[in-house]
Formats: sequence, structure tokens, C-alpha cells
Amino acid sequence: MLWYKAWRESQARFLLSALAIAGLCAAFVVFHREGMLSVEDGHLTYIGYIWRITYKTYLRELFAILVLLLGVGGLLRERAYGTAGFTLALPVSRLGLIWARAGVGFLEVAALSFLPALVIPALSPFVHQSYPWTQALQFGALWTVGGALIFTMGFLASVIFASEYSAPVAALLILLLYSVIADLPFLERYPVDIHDIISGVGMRYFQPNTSLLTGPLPWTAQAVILLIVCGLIALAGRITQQQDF
Amino acid sequence: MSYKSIIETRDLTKRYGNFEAVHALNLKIAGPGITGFLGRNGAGKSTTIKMLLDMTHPTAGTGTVLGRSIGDPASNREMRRQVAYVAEDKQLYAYMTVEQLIRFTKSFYTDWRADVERHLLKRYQLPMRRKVKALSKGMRTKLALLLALSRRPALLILDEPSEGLDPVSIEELLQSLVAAAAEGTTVFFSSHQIAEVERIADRVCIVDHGKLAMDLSLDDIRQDYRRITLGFAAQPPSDDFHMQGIEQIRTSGRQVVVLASHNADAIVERARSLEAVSVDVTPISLREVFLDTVKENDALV
Amino acid sequence: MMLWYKAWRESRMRFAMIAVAVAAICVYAVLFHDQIQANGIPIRPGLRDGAYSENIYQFVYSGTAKGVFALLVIFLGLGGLLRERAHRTAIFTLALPVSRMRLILTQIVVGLAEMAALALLPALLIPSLSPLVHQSFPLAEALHFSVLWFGCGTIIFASAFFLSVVFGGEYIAPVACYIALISQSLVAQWAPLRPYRLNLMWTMGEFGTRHWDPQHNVLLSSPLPWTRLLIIALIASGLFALSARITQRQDF
Repeated sequence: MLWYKAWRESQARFLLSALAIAGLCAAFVVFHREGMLSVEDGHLTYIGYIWRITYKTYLRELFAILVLLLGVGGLLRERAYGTAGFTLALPVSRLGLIWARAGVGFLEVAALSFLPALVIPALSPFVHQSYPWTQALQFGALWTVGGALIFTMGFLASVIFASEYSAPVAALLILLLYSVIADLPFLERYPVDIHDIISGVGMRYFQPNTSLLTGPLPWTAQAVILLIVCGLIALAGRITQQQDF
Repeated sequence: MSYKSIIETRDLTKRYGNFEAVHALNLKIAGPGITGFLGRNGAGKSTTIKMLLDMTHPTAGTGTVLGRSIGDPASNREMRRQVAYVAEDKQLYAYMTVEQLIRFTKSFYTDWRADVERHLLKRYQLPMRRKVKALSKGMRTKLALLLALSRRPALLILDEPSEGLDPVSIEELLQSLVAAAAEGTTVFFSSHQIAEVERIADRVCIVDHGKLAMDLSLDDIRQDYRRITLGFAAQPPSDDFHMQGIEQIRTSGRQVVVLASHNADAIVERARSLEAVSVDVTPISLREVFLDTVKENDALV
Repeated sequence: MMLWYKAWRESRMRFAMIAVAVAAICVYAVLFHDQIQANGIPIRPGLRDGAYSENIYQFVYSGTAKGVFALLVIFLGLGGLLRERAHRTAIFTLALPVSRMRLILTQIVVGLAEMAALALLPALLIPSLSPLVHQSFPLAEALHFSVLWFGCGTIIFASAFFLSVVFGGEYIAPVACYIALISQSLVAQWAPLRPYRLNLMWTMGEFGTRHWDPQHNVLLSSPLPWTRLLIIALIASGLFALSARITQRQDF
């Protein structure tokens, strides 16, 4: 039931996000002719267009912000609403509460990550185009892990900042700072920029000429990211255990 | 502005979908004095108060408070200058300190009394520099009361004012309300603590299932209201007790219990004429009136 | 007066965080302009490579700072009576002898004032800090962008404000606002609408309208798009008015 509670507290945000992502993917496919004209480089293939508008720019940016906002909430917010006492009186550990919220959040991130993989390849034949399922699913996998990291930034911020809007603002600034640091010259050679990892830009497994993922996915990097995610959630748990309510 | 009733409503109704929270409520509260507003949970007390203060819009009906229409926002706003209100929740701005919140609230009213403020601050022992979010529930309640009582409002509306207070503070609160009424303020407060209402109120309005069930003065209850318990040897007559003064009749086996608002002697006479074998006349408390009233309504609903 | 104080207290933390972020980006852009340039941030075609003003433009006015401003202004617009209802202070606020219109107007004015301050920050910092690195950036240019940021920010703020009046959920309003912002950028790119330059982010960044001034070795903007800014202001006003109307009818 803790999972149910976490789901109920995030379902409106999740459903709105899912609707937006699915709607935009559908629009990208249905209006691909106008879309391809509007993209600066006029010599794009359909696959190149889908990659650029979905996995590189607009949808990726929206996805990052939406999963960040999925991460906020938690016991500090419950304290503001006066329900923290009720929740903490339940015979469950604070870590259990944290992991339930994180678990539901990760499932939601995964669902959002794979939405483009469901919509784009399925709708493309209707406009006499095609986008490979394998490509879409691989991007889905990249987005799931990358999205989990971004989700965790929102999650951690909401464990530290009690105020309703300070937490998401702080989370966005953390994401920004992370992006700036990852772009520093001495770090550029390492695959640390999550935006590049999930879009493939500059990565060995991505072929810019064809806009396709060609090499094996960076499973090591993914595993490291997941470890970092788990570490950050554990940190959030530790902070929560020490807090007074 | 002159007006007859401090609070007056005509068929005031509030519907939420199919649910009627308040149904054709006709209240008439005269001032000054203290009126208790009683009802069970979900009876419609808070909804009524919110409609009076333009926080909730009535579905039907009209009302005036201090002679001003509750349905006209501008008029209602002017009325609120003369009304002090303590909500049931007593949630205040968590990010402000006690001092900041007092300064904030004070700025809206010309009738603020600094001497009363100082007196209540000292009595309630409220820490000026502490943020509201760091106050206990009881202290927050005291702060909410201070914000209301540090004025000379024409009308003081309180929703469960004693909730969260310790017995000493409750006593102080009741004394403050009596003092306010003595100074000319009309006090209208809803409470589940019937004993408190009975101690200080002049009148009581009982609302049940969104309707006004009873509107009576406590003096009437003390002087005239009686519970008459009648025992009969055989099945008691059901149709012979339509007399003036009978508010309720309940039959249980061979016993009939009558709630009489007046005319008790005549009712006893009638009972004896119907061969009642036992007659017991007892004074009745507000609590018993309340419980009898809501039980009666349950039977009717 | 105290309503303004309340609105300020309820938004000051957000404002401060955004201000620090925008200021930090501006200071970084000035003090580390050499490293930024060496890092090879691509200069758009048609612009001269290597000029200080272009780097500032790329990093601040068309890049990071602009993005931060646009994304975070949303949070200045959030709050209001529906959020107060969730925190159960709405009753206290509504019991005050002030109209709901006044409560809303106060929140709007304070929010817009904060947004104006944020929009002016780069204009305060960049021209004044540039001499420290033996460079200069025209104040007029900086103020030009401040006007654009404020103008375009107004509709982002108004959208967030409107959505927080409509949606009571804690984070639904910002989610909806971000979706609207991204969707607006996409729709504005649609070929039939492109000539009208409706893309807010492009307007804020003066994309495609700047020209090189060889005499002063600086990148300059075109005249301010007053018609577009006026239309934006009208739409924002409409959203504010609609928000006020909805709030007046709401039950608390």
C-alpha cells in the first residue's frame, strides 16, 4: 500500500506528462513534413528528423524537466500538509517510505521513457514512414537510466528543501549545474553528460550520419549511473531518517 | 448602519452535486450576546459560516451580516472589517513569526487594540520571534484567538475555538468571550463542547442535516423545558398527545418520553387523565435537548 | 502594504535562488569568457567568431541564462489561493477585509516586479564586470535584452499564474506550464507560423535578427519588436483577468 500511496500522490503529474509526451510524439510523426521543413538542416531523413526532434532536442528537454518534477514530494511536503504524523505513525520504516516513493517514481520514469518507443514506430507507417523498433527501444533504455538520475535530483532536493517550490527550483538548478560541469573541457572526454548519453551526441554508440544507435549500448556507464542513483536515494533515506517531524 | 439582526439568512442553501450541505437555512441572530451554533459533524456549521463570509458561494438563498448582503463581494468585504473570525483549522502563515503575523493582521483593521494585544500576549505566553510553524497546536490556537480578540469587532465568529486548548486556556477563552459580549460584541460560535456553550451562551441554534432544527434561548431551556417521562399499564395512547408545548414524543414499550418546551403542568394533567401510572418531570440540560433533537431528525430522515 | 509583504515572503526564496543562478551565469560568462570561447561554443553562421560580445550573447542572452530565466520564471507565477487552501490558510486570508481581486493583483505585481529584477540582472552585471576582463559590453544592448526577457517572461509568468488558479494539485501547474512552453516553441516553428516569429525563446534571444557592427566590433540587436511585445502583454493581461474571474467564483 505504500506503493499505492506513492502512486496516488504522483499520478496526476505522471498522467499529464505521459499525455504530453505521447501527444508530442504523435504530432512529430503526423506533422513530420512540416517538422522536417522547420528544422534548420533541410536534408534530414525521417529517422534523422525523429532523432533530432525527439531524442536530441525538444522532447528530451521536456522529458528531463518532467521526470525532475516527478521526483519532488515526500515527507517534508507531508509535514507542510499536516499528514506526516499520520504517515510516520504507520508501522513502516522511513527507508521503506523512501524506497516505495523512489520505486514508483522509477517505474513512472521507465514508462515515460518507453512511450516514444511505443508511439513513433507504431504511428510512422500511417504516414508512409518507418522508424525501427530496435532504435526506439534502445533509446527507451538509455532514457530510463538517464531519467532515473534526473528523477533522483528532484527526489534529493525535496528531501533537503521543505518549501513547496524551493525544492523543484533547487532541483532544476542542480540539473543546470550538472550540465555546466559536465561540459567543462577536462570532463568532455568522459561520458558524464547525461544529456549526451541519452541522446547519443558525441557517443561511440551513435552514428551522426545516419542518426542511428549502432554500437553496443554503454552498459557499464548505465550500471554506474544506476549505482549513483541508488547511492543518492540511500543518501536521501539517511537524511530523512535524521529529520524531525 | 442600522439593522435588526446581526446575522440573518433566508433559505440559505449550499449544494455540492447531489449532496445538500445546507438546506433552506433561516437563521436570525440578534445582538449583542452570545449564540452557540451546535450540530453534529457534517451538519453544515462550517459551510454556513463560510457562506456568511463569502468564502463559499450559496447555491440559493440570501443573507445579511451586520445589515450587509453576504452575496455582494464589496458589501461582504466591508462587513469583514467589523467581523473577527477564528476558523476551525486555525492554520496561519507558517513562514511568519508571531510578531510578523500580528503586524500583518493589525494592518487591516482600524479597531485594533494594542492594550488587549499586549495583555493576551503576556497571558498566552506567545514567543514573539518564533515562527508559526514551530508553534504547538494549542499555541497556534491562542495566536488565532489573539488576532481575533485584539479588536473591538461588532461580530465575533468562532469555529471550535477551544479545540487544542488546555483547561486553563479554555477558561480564559470563555471569560474573554463573556467580556467581549459585555462590551457590545455579538459572539457567534460553533462548538462540540456543549458544556462550554451552556455556560456562556444566551441562545443556541441547533443545525442538523443542513437544516435549522432548533433556535432557543438557554433561559427558556432552564426555566421552561422539561422532560416528562410517563409510564402506562397498557399500551400508551399515541394520538392523544397533541398539545401545545410538546416538542417531541418518543414511545418505547409502555413508556412515553415527552420533551416539553412549556406547558408542562397541562401535559402532566393530560397524562394523568389518560391513566398514566407514573409521571416523572425533570429539568433538561442543553446536551439532552441537543441529543433528543438530532435523534428525532435521524428518525425523520 | 502588508499584502505585498505577504506576497514577497511567499516568493522570496524562489526569487533569491533564481537571482543567484542568473547572476552566477553572468559572472561566469564574463570572468571565464576565454575558457568558454576555447571550449568552442558554436557561433551561429553569419556572426563573427571570437568577439567578446558574441560570446556573451551566446552564453547569456541566447543560451544558458536565458533558458534558466524562462524555465524558472514559471515558479514565480505559482502559488495563490488554491495552494493556500491546500495548506489551510486560505480561510484566514479570505477572512481579511480585502477583495480577492486585490489579493490576486498583489501577487501579480510582486511577481512581475521580481521578474523585472531578474531580467535586469544581466544588464547590471555584464556591462559593469566586463571592464575587469578588459572588455566592454554596451549597456544599451544589455537593456535591450532585459526588455525582451521581461516582455516574453510576462506571458510565461501569466501562464503559470493561470494554471495555478485552475489546478489545485501541487506540481500540476508547473508540469502543465512546461508542456505549454515546449509545445509553444514547436508550434511556432510550424512553417505557416514561422514568418510571424511567435517563438518566445527565439524572441527572447533575438535569433536571426542581429547584425554585426564593424565600427565598434560588436554584435547589435534590431529595434525592439514592440508589436509583438504588445500582443504578448495583451495575452498575458487576458490570462490575468481570466485568473481573477475564476478565483472570484471559487469556493474555499
